[in-house]
Amino acid sequence: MPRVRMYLRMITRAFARRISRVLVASLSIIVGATTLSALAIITYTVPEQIARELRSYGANLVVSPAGTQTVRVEDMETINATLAEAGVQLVGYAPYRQDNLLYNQQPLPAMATDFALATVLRPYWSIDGQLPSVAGEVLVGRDLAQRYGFKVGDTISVVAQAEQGVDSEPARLTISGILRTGGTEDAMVLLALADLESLLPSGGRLDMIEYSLLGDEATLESVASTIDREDESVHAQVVKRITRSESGVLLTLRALIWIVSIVIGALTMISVTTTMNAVVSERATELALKKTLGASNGQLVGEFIGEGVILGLFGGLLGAVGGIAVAGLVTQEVFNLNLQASWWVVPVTMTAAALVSGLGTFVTVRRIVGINPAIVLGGE
Amino acid sequence: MDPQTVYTLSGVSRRYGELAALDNVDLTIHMGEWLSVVGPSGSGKTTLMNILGCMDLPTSGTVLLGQERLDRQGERELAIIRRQRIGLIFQKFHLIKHLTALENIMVAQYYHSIPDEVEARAALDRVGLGERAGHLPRQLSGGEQQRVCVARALINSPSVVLADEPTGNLDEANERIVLDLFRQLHDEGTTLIVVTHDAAVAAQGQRQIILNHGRIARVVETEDYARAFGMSEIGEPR
Ligand SMILES: Nc1ncnc2c1ncn2[C@@H]1O[C@H](COP(=O)(O)OP(=O)(O)OP(=O)(O)O)[C@@H](O)[C@H]1O
Ligand SMILES: [Mg+2]
Repeated sequence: MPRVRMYLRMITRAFARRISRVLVASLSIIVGATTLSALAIITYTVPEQIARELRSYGANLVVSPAGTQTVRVEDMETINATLAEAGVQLVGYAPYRQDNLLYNQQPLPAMATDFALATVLRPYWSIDGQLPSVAGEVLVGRDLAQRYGFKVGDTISVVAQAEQGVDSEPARLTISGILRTGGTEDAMVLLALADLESLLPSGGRLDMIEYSLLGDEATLESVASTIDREDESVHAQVVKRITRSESGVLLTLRALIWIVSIVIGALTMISVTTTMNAVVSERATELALKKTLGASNGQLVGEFIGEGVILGLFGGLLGAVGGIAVAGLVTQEVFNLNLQASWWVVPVTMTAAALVSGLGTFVTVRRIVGINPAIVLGGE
Repeated sequence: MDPQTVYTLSGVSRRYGELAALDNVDLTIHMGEWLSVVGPSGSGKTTLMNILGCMDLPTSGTVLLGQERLDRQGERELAIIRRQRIGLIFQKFHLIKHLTALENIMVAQYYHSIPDEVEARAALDRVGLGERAGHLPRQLSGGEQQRVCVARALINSPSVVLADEPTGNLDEANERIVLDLFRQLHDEGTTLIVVTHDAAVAAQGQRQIILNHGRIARVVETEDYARAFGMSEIGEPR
C-alpha cells in the first residue's frame, strides 16, 4: 500500500470514527462558515437583485380602483387624456389585471397586461424565450416553471373558475417564454388582457395602471389629485422611485459587511486554534505512541493539518448549506426577494474554511513537538 | 563463542532533581538475550526501559546501542533508531482507538517504511487474531489488545523488543499466550527485555536483574544464560 494512501486512511479514519468529537470541533467552523456564506450571498446577490428592482420602479404614478369601485379599460383613455391636458410628458404606461386560474385543480396566479406597454415600464424583465406575440401565448414565472416543470414551447391546459363555481371550458395556453424578475411575477403566469378576458370575462376590469411620467414630485402630486377629481372611480398615487443615492447606501452596506466578515473570520480562526490545541491534548497518548513508533514531529504535524483540512471542508460544506438557507430566509423576510440559488458559495466557503482550519492547525506544532512519550505513556 | 552485545550501560544515572531514578547503573545486554527486570515500585524499571527504548536520555553515564552512543543523539536520530530497531510493548496497550487492529499494525509499518497489508495480516494471524483484523480496540478484550500490541511490536522485525509489564493486565490464559509469543521471538534471536512484577514471568528470562532505589541490587543468572553467554558478573562478557 502506498504511504500516501495510508496517510489518507489514517486521517479519514480519525475523522469518520470520531464523528461526534469532530462535530463538536467543527462547530465553530460551521457557525463561522454559515455566517460568512450568508453574508456573502446577501452582499453580492441582493444588491444585484435590488438594482434590478430599482430599474423596475420605472413607474412613478400608480392608479388603482377607489374603494369598492372598478377601473375599466375605458378609464385608461380618460386618464391619458387628463394627463395630456395637464401637459405632463408620458414616458410609458401599462394596465394590469390579476386573477386566479386553475391548473390541475391548483390555483395559478395570473397577471394580464399589454406586453408591449409593460416591457417599457419593466425593462428588468428577463425572458428565456419570446414575448407572447399571438393570442394564447403566455409567459410563466421562473418559480412556477420550476414547480411544475414547465418549459418553453409547452402547452398547458387551464380553466377559469366562474362566479357560480362552474369552471370554464379548458383553454390551451402555449408557453412562449420563462420570466425571471426576482419579484412577485416569478410565481405567476402572464398573459394578454384579451386572453384573460375571454377566459374570464370581466367587462374590461383592471386592477392597476402604472404610469411613468416626467416631472418633479409637486407636478406629480397635482396630476394625481387632478385624476382623482376627474374620475370618481379611480385613485392615483405617486410612488417614490428609489434613487441613485439610495443604491449608494447598498455599497456602504457591502463595505460594512466585509468588515463584519473579517471579524467573524478572525473569531473562527481563534476558535479553531483553541479547539485544535484541545484535540492535541486529548490525543496526547496517540501522538506519544506514534512517536515511539518512530514518527517525526513533521509527520505528526502533517497528519494534523490533513485532519484540519478535512474538518474545514466538512464544516465549510455544512456552513455553506446553512448559509444558503439563512440568506434565503433573510432576503425573503427583510428584502422581500426570492433569492436565486447561490451554489457558487459552496466551493468558495469550503475552500476558505479548509484554509482557516488548516492554518489554525499550525498552532498545534509547538504542543506536538512538546509531547514526550516517556512522560505521556509512563504517567498513570 | 563471542556473543555480541546489544546494550552497554556504564555509570548510567537518571536524576529528577534530588531523586536518582537510576543511580550509577552498569549493565551489558547480549544479543538474543531474554532479560527480566524486576524490583519494587519506584525502583527505576520504567526509567531504565525509557532509556533503552530511546525515549529518554541519562543525566550522566554512557549508553551504547551496538557501537552507537545513544546519549549523544538528538531527538530526530533517536526517532529513527526507535523506528528501525526497537519494538515497544506497554502495560496499558496504547492502541489507537479509531483504527482497527489491522490498521494499528499498519501504522507501525507506515512510520517504519511502507504499509503492507498482507504482512500485517500475517502478524495478526501469528498472535491468533487473524479473524479480528477489522475490529476496533474497544471491541477486543484486554488480552486480545495486548496481543495486537505484540504483533505491532514485532511487525518491523526489530532486533530488540522492550516490554514494560506486558502481562500486568492479563489473565492467566492470555499471559500464557503472550509468553509463548515471547518464547518464539527469543528462539528467533530477538533480544527481549521484560519488566515484570510477576515472579513466574520473570523466571522465564535467562537472567533477572533486581532493581532497588535505582541500583542493580542483585542478578540471577540461569544455566541457560551461562551456556549462551558465559559465566560473568555484571559487566563485560568474556
Ligand atoms: N518524570 C518524572 N519526574 C519526576 N520523577 C519521576 C519521573 N519519572 C519517574 N520519576 C521517579 O523516578 C522513580 C523511578 O520511577 P519508575 O517509573 O522508573 O519506577 P518503576 O520501577 O517503573 O515503578 P512501577 O513499578 O511503579 O512502575 C520514582 O520514584 C518516580 O517517582
Ligand atoms: Mg513502571
